[in-house]
Amino acid sequence: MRFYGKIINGWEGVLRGSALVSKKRISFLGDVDPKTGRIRANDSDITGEEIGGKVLIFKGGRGSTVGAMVIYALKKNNKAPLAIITVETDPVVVSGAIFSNIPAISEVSENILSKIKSNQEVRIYPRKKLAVIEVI
Amino acid sequence: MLDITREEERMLSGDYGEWTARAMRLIIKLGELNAADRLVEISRVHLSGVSYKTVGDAAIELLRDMVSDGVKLKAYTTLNPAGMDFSRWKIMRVPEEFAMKQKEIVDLYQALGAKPTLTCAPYLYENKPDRGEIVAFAESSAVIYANSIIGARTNRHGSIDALAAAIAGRVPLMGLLLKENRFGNIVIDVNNEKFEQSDYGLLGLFLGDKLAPTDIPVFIFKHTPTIWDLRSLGAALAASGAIAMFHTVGITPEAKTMNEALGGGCPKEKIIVDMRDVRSVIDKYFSSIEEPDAVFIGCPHASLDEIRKIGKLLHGKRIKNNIDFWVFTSRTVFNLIRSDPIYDIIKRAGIKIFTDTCMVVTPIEEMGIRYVWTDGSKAAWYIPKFAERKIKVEVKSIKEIVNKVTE
Repeated sequence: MRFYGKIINGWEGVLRGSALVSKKRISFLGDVDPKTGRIRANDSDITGEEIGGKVLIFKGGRGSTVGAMVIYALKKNNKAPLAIITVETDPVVVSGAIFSNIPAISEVSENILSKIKSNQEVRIYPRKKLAVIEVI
Repeated sequence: MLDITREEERMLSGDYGEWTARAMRLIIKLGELNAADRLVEISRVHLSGVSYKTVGDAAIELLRDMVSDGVKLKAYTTLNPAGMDFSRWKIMRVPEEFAMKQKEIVDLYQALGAKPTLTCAPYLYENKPDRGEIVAFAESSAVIYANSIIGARTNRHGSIDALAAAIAGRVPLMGLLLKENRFGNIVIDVNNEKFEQSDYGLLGLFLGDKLAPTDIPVFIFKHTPTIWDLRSLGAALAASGAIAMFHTVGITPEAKTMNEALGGGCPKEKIIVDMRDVRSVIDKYFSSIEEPDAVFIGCPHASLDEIRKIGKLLHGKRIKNNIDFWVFTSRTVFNLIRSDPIYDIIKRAGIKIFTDTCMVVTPIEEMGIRYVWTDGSKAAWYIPKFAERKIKVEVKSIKEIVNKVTE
């Protein structure tokens, strides 16, 4: 299974990690605990999961603009996702990812949210200006 | 490809220091991702990310690094609410350690050159853009207000790229800065019979969740809403969703007619809503509370009109002793209300007005508060999340609240 996306913030080589998938939008402020990386929103479909070190795949951003700084805080606290993959492009998520230097991909087909399951191993790598996301 | 001027090239290459170069890299990258062809200079920025509760130690480290490297913001920059009222934080029961951290954050922002306005509603007095003016606002409720109600132009900036814009004095020319991207694409027909201001907020939460972030809804109302009704609507649209702009036919500046609001195009959809949809939000997200231990008004920061309204509703009665009735506003509005005859009535009733902060970004989970009534849907949306649902919130109209908590 393979998906393609736009590279928002690039990386070197191939990244491998465990997927954490949410069909919903995320506000990093409020929905995510910056100290632990745990999803604390009760209207999320991944409530209680920790995003640190995961390939976080979700629909897009919502809500507070402070989310960008929360992403920076997650990075400083070593609780940032390994990579951020979204269907929609949200400026708050994008600037947080770029500034914190977290690999980020967007404009991926919405199918990814149902085809890739949480805990599946995925790899991502750049090819011809696009990002490739594959289940291993 | 994005064209930059010779000056911008120097900024990018580090002639003005590493932070200017870093800010330029982020801005240019955002521009390239959105097919901007150039940057545009701005003179106004409003920053979110001020409360220690929301940004924590990571922001302190970032700001310390910037201050010690001598960074100076190029644009006139105002600040969002902090985690406490700076002169009355002890009355608010803010822990000492929190207060020290909070002071440092605001001191650091000030050292960069930001004005410690500490309000989420800078567009009323402290940082008021003109119609058509290009600015860089973070704070989602200020973004949607500036675009929709003033007709100024701002994208929905994250706290970090707004800071970068303040350092560089520039933003990429893209998105809502361009007239062609400001037209509505979806029509919302609202039967607002018997709507109180709080119902507009609930309507915003209802729709924000359903609409796509790029949608620009065009509202038609049966009865004319007030500017404060629309402000509540916008703040909530930007909380449960990521909406950055809306039109209201016959009211907002870029929507004299439906045709103007839609830019001559056809809407992709028309949604009809009424009180039942608004009420569905209450059942879905909020708790039912018999008696609150706190009432919070002022999300977004209360205007002079809104505070006067509370005073009028009091009819000389007092707030019950066991309830904290707190109103949050800016220092500017507070100074205005203090010279208003209604202030005495409000004060005597036992209502406390706090500035510099609000119920969302002050650490209420450490103040022993469990049950909250508020008229602000945005606050009701965030408070239970921050408190990990240890605090329950119910949205009610200001009329009902005042009626029930006075004696």
